[in-house]
Amino acid sequence: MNHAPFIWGSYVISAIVLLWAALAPLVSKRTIIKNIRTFNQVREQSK
Amino acid sequence: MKNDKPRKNAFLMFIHKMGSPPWFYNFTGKFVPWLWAGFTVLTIWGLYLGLFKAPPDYLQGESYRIMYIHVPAAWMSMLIYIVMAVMGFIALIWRVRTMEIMAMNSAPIGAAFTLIALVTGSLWGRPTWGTYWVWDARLTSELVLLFLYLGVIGLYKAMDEPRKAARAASLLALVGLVNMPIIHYSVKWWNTLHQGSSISMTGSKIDPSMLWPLLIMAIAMKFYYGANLITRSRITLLEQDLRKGWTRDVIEGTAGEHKS
Amino acid sequence: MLTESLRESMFSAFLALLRRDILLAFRRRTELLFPVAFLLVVVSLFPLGIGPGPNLLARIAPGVIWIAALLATVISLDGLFRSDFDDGSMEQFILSGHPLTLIVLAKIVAHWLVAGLPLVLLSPLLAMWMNLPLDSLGVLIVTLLLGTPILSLIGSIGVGLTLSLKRGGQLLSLLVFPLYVPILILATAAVMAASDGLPYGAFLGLLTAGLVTSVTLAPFAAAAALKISLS
Repeated sequence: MNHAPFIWGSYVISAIVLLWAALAPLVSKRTIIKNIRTFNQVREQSK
Repeated sequence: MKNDKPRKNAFLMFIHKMGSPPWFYNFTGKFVPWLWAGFTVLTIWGLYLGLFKAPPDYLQGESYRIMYIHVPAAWMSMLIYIVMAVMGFIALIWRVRTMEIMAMNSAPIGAAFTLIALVTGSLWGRPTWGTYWVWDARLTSELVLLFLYLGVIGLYKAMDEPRKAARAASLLALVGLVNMPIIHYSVKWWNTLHQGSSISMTGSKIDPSMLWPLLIMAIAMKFYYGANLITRSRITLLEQDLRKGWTRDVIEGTAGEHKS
Repeated sequence: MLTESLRESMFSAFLALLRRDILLAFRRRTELLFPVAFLLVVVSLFPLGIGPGPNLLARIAPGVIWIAALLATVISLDGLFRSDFDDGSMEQFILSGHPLTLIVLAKIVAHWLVAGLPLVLLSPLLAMWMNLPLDSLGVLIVTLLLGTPILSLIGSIGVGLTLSLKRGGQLLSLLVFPLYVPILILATAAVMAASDGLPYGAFLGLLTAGLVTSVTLAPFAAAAALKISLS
């Protein structure tokens, strides 16, 4: 049996999982930073 | 005896400092690029040695090369659970918020490693056993571990108040930690009971040329955990402290020149 | 160091709470029957789904009966602290000055008496349905006697943690089932060994060790969980 697809498949799937685990928080960081900016803008204006 | 007191104070000072959100944010931020760099270099090196340099196994042929991701991922899945429970314990005793955050952010990373260990183990099983899933002791343990992680994540996400949620989930992680060796050994023993002599995936003797890439990959994964954990924890801090002044100073890069 | 009178008052508080919980449970008799009925329904589904072949049923009997007992326990666990939490009695207990661990232990014992013990008493009927050899019935009953209290004890931690959630019951199974794995393995292994005519004493010994350990540790963890939920 040809083992190559199983080996490469393992590494590709692992890379996808690790990349996703690393990048998912960065996506939420952008919205959080946006939220902080809007919160502070609203507070500045209401002063 | 005399040396005991200042040392303890230094440790408590460190915990105290780690508990200050802006200090934590800035201090840990310095490590992130280095940790990612270490991870990248070690991974490339380890994979080069493991996938191209190491000789094929005389029994399993090429398929053993899955070991270089499967075994480090399985190690990490257990190590991260232990680290998470210990940080949870510190968080419960001293009520340090940054520890709560780090314990809770360990859970998804650990779950990711558990998932990798399960998927690669299953892909390794196909050429070795001729089937994708065998109730082998290690795969079964990893599956139970995944459920433990999902429980911690689920409990944390289910509660609205983040600090209470973190404390509850930390306690659950701690209970899981006490049970982990019992689960591990009972599953191992259950496996030998029901299958007699099963084929083990890793051979007993490993050639040094096969061992080195494994160790390098194992260290690379620890760098990944460190980098990812710090990245996640800093973001959680920003999220929780959205209304506090220091978050604005940090994201606008005006830390230090802020006038109240 | 406990003085004699304090120990006595703690013990009488324990007994009073135990009696109160059992009386309350018997006042809602129909609710008491739900886990029992659930157990009967689940076990009866297996012959329907797998086929009535007596040998196959006998082979899977220990596993089926034990898994049904796990499910029935988790179903009944949700009520362990629920009513006291909702009507504020739990806060009263904490304010009463008695150690929360003791209160939790009394509630767990009461829970086992009204929800765990019926499962043990029903097991001969289930064993008959599943065609379990008569010789191993005794071992099944012993494993249930030793094992179901562990289920209640470990489960109480999960209940304490999910108490403040609206749909805690759904999360509870995810939290406690992984922790039940060793008990399931040990108990079914003991019954299977008995069916095969092999020695099973060691399994029962390990189950007893598990019971002793969980009696000493679980109430503390459950009390800590309750305190977090009430905070």
